[in-house]
Amino acid sequence: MAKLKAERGTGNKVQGEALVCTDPIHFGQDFSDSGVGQNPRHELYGKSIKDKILILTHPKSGSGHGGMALLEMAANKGAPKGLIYQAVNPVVVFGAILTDIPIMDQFDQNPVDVIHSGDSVTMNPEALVVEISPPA
Amino acid sequence: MKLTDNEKHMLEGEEGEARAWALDKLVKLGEYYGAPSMVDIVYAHLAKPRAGIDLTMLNLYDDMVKKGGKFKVTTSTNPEAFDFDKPEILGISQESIKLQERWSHAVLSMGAVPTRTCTMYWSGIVPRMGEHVAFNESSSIAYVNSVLGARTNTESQISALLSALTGKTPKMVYHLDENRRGNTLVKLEAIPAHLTEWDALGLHLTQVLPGDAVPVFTNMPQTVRTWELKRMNASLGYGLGPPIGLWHAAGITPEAATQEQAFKGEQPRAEVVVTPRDIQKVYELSEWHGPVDLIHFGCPHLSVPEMAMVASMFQSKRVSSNVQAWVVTSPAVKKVSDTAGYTAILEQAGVIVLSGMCCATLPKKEAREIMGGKVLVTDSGKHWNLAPSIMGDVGLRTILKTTEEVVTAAVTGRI
Repeated sequence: MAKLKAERGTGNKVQGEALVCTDPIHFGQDFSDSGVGQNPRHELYGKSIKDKILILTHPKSGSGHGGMALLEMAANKGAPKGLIYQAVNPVVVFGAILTDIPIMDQFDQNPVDVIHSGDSVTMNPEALVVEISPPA
Repeated sequence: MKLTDNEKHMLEGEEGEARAWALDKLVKLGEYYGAPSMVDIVYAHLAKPRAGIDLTMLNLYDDMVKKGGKFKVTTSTNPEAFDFDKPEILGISQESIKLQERWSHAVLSMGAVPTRTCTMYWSGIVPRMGEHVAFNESSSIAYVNSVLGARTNTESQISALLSALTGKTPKMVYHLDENRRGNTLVKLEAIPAHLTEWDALGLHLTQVLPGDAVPVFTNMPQTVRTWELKRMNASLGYGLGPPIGLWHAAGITPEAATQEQAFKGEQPRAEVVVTPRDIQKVYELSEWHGPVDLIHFGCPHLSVPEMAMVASMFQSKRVSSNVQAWVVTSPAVKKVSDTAGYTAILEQAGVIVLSGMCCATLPKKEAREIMGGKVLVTDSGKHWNLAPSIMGDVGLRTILKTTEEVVTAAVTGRI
């Protein structure tokens, strides 16, 4: 079992299936409210992020609105279950706080290098620890 | 986080349900970033959720109204989706207008000041150096922090709403002295010669600088005008990379009497030189030859001198019959422009002069009808960058040209 240490985190403890994505995400532009990739130029086009623990680098730049799009996704049951970033921004953090999606960033190792899609991931924001097991 | 007694009481519900809920969320945000405390703000500025798209945010506003929410500080508003003086001029239906008014009613009932502009600093809302505010308008962040020397973070729609309700924001990022120190030297090989070059400069800098860069310009011209800086700040806030929220220039920005003061005595961590080719490359991102459909001036809303300038450029000219030309400004500046005669000159030329609105907040149906599949020419770096994506994909193509070239395109109907 691998362990990652974060500098920052908020939200409840959660366990779920990891989905790793190195193509920066803007939730409002790249995903529908039901959590399906809607941007043909994005790596996750046509894929679902609903209920996944997303393993990400940093938010896509442009509008800060991306964090607020999480509200729409949560209302439409399309939101991810957890957010793990190497470096996030306050707008996405606030979107996660408003929707009770656990979020953590600033890890001792780059999460996208250590975690693989399909891994079982447990986020413990209070303890600032992420535990990773291979898929069952 | 250390909370004051007043904040503890607010969390316990002594100022009502809305403020208790709002402060709880803001404290959580501050705790994520290790903020030592909250800080009192003197102004908040709110942008409108997009009708038909941001339904949950709109519901949240209504929820705050239901819980008895009232703004604690002077709270101004961003543009609406239509001009309240001429609501149907762009063909927006009465039905859509009614739907749009839901947000307007909610914020007014909580005590908002309907400035209806992204340029609140030209509509009577002017933070002083050192004042803490919470603004949700990306073009205003670097203006407030750099040009005015006040302090705001890049707020989201809801964090700004909750700050307006509570009068507080977490003391983090630009509210802290240590985060306002310059860290990147920027030298301009060529001084911007056109208005649009300030837009292009902002776009270029967002491509080459990281999000925590605090540029210090070594040779910004002392003759620079506030509307030129407005344009650069708009592109810095909504550019081609992470936004830059603060910069300094000796003798121009209040926190930099000298360059050394901007760096607070420390050495820059990076140096950037901006060449004329860097600026030229920004224009090359939108090449177009052929007929055009829409002409847009006013992102951000034009200042009084810009209204005078654009009016003089359209004097005795006529907008081509195959284009629609818009000049957009704040209601406050429109009033002055009317009295000064600028509006009459523009309308005489066939320009549509709009106030208090932004086409970027059009609902999808109207965005498709008015802008779908069209070619829009603008002298605004932010509008060139933002319009195609913010309305969702309606097939709008935007072209960035100098102000003179945009006027020519309006008159000839083509590039």
